[in-house]
Amino acid sequence: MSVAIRRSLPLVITFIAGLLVIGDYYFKVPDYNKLVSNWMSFVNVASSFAVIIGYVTLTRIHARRLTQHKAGWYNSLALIFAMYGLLIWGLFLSGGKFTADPAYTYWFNNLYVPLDSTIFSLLAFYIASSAYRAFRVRTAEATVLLISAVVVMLGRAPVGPAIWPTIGPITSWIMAVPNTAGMRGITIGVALGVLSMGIRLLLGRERGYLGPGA
Amino acid sequence: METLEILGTLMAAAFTLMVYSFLYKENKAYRFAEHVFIGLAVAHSTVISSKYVWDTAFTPLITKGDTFWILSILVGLLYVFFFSKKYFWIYRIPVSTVVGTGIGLGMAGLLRSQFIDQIIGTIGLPDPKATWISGSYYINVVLIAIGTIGTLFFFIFTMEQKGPLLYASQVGRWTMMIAFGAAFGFTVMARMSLLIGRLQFLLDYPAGVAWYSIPVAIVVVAAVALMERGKGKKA
Amino acid sequence: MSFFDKLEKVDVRYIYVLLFIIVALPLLRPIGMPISMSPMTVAFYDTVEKVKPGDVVIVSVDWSAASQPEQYPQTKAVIAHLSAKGAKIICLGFWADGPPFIDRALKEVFGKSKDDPRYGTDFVNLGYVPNGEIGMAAIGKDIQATCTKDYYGTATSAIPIMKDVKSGKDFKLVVSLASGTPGVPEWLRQIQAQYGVTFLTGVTAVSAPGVRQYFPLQVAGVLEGLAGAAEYEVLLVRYGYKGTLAPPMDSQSLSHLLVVVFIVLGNVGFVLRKYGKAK
Repeated sequence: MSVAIRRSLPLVITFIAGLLVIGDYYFKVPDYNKLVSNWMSFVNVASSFAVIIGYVTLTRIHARRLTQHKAGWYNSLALIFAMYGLLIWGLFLSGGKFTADPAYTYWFNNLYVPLDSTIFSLLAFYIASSAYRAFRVRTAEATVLLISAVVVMLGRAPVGPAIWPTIGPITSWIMAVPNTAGMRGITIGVALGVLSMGIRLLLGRERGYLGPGA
Repeated sequence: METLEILGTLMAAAFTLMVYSFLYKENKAYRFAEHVFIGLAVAHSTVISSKYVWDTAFTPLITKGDTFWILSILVGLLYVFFFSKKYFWIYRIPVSTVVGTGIGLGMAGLLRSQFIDQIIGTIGLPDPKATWISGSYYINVVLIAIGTIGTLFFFIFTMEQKGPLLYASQVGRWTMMIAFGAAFGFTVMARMSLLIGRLQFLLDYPAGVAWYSIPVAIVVVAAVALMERGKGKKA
Repeated sequence: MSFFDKLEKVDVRYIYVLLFIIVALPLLRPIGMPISMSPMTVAFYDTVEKVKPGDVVIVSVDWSAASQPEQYPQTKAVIAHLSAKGAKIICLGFWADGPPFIDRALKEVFGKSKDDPRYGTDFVNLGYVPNGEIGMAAIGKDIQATCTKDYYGTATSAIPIMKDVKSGKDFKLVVSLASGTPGVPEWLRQIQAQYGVTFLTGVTAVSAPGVRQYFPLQVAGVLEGLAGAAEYEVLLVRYGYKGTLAPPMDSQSLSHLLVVVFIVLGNVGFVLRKYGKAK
C-alpha cells in the first residue's frame, strides 16, 4: 500500500467514525440508528483487544530482567507469576465462570483488593505531611484558599457542626455558590476546548493519537 | 474452609503491612508487593474484558454462525502490529476506529450537558434547597452568575487583561480560589477515608484481623529490618 | 535554630505515626459524634423515595478497589434502599473492579446473589461493559445487544427483569457510583441528556466539588464520599438498615482536625518569620 494511503486511511476512519456517531446523536432515523448501534458493538469488541499490548510489553520487560538477573529480578518473577497465574485461572480453569468463579474471587478479595486499597491509602499520609510542610500562606489568594479548605474540612465532618453548628450551612453555601461558579466556568471553558480539539482530530489536523511517525 | 479464610486474611494483612512499610523507607518488601499488584491488576482487567468478548462475539460466532463478529475480532487483533516496525501503520486502524467513535460521542454529548445545560443552570433559578439562607437564593443566583462569568473572563488570553476585563478576571480568580480550597478540603476527606478503610480492616476487633495483624506486623518489620541491615553491611 | 524552625523541619515519619494513632483510636473506642446531614444526601434520599415498585433502576458501579472504603458502603446502602422501594435493580459496571463488588454487595444485602430466588426478577448483575463512554452510549441504544450475558453467564434475553428493558427510554432512574473516568460527565452526556433520565450519583469525595455544578438541573442528588454514605445510612435507619460508619466518621473528624492543626502549625513559624523580616 502506498505511503499516502497508509497515512490517510486512519484519518479517514477517524473522520467517518466520528461523523457517524455525531449524526446518530442528532438524527432519529431507525435504520441509521440501528447501523450505529451495531457499529458501537463492533468497536466495543475490537477495542477490548488493546490489553494484548500491555501484556506483551510487561512480559518483554520483566522476562528480560529475569533472564539477565538484573537487580530485583525476583520482583519480575512475582509480577509474571501473578499476571499469568490469575489470567490462566480466570480464562481456562474457572469452568467458564471467569471472574465469578469462587477461587478467582478469593484471590481478588484477599490479594488484589487489599493491595489496591492500601497503595492508594498511602496518599493520606502524604497529604498530611504536605499540609504540614508545603501549605504556606504566601499570598492573599493562598490565604483565601486555606480558609475555604479549613471551613469545608471541618464542615463536612461531624466535628465541625458539633463545635459550631453554623459551619454546616456555611460549608453548604461555599459548595452551592463559589464552588459551583468556579467549577462551572472551568467546565464551560473545557467544553469549548474539547470541541475545538475534537474538530481538529476529526479533520486530521491533530495526529498525536496515531503514535510516532504519523 | 475456615483455614482458607484465615490464610486469605493473613495474606491480605501481610501485603497491607508490606505496602505500609514504605512509609518507613523504600524497601524490598514494598517493591515485591507493588510488582504483585501490577501483575494482578493487568490480569484482572484482561480476564473481565475477555469475558465480555467471549459472550458478545465468540459465543454468537460459534453457536449461531454470526459472521459479523469475525471482522470485529480481526480489527481488534490488528493491535498486535504495535510491535512491528514495518507494519506499524496497521496498528493505527483499530486506534482510529476507537478514537473517532469516542471523540464523536464526546463532542455530541458535551455541547448539551457541559455547555448549554451549564448556561441554563447559571441563568436559571436554583432549587431553594441548594442555599443555606432561605429567601436569599436570588442573591446566590446573582453571585453564581457573577462568579461563573468572572471565571470565564479569567481564561481570556487573546487580549491584554486591563480595565474592566482585569476586574472581571480578578472576580474569577477569587471565585476559583474558594472553589479550589473546597476541592482541597474534599481531597483531604477522600484520602483520609482510604486510610480509615484500611485501618478498619487491620484493627477489626475483636473478631477479625487485629489478632493476625500484630504477629504479621512483627514478622514483616523484622524481615524488612533484616533486609535493610544486610544491605547496610554490604555497603 | 528557633523552636519554630525545628518544628518546620521535623521528620515526616513522626507525622505519619501521629496520623496513624489519631485515625486508629476512634476505630477502637468510638466517640459517637452526631452525624450532620448534607442537603445533597437529603436530595439523593428524597429522589430514591419517589421510586415506585417495578420501576427499572440502573445501578452502575464505576469505581475501583482504591475507592472501596468510600463507595462500597454507598453501593450497599443504595441497593438496600432501592430494594426496600420495590425497584427492579439492574447492576452493571464500566470499571473492571465493579462487577465483583456488585456480587459482594448483593450477597451482603440479599444474603445470596445468583442463587437468590429473587435474582433475575428483582435484581440482576449484568457484569462489565468495556470502553467507557462508548459502552454507555451502547447500553442507551440497546442494552440487551451490549450485555448479551449477565455476570454469571446467563443469557440476558432469558432474564425476566430484562424483558421490557431495551434502551435508555426504559430506564426510570440511573444511579452511578463513580470515582473517575468514565463517570458522571460521561453518563450525563450519553444517557441523561439523550433520554432525560433522572440521574443520581455517589462519588468519591475528590470528585464531589466537580459534580456539584450539575445539581439540580442534571443531577438530582449526590452522595459525597464517606460522609455522604454515613448520612445516607442514618436516613435508612427507618428501613431497618444497620449502618457501620459511625466510628469511621469519628476518625474522619479527628483526622481533619489534625490536618487543620498541621496547617496552622506549619504556618505559624512562616508567618512569624515573615512578620519579623517586615519589622
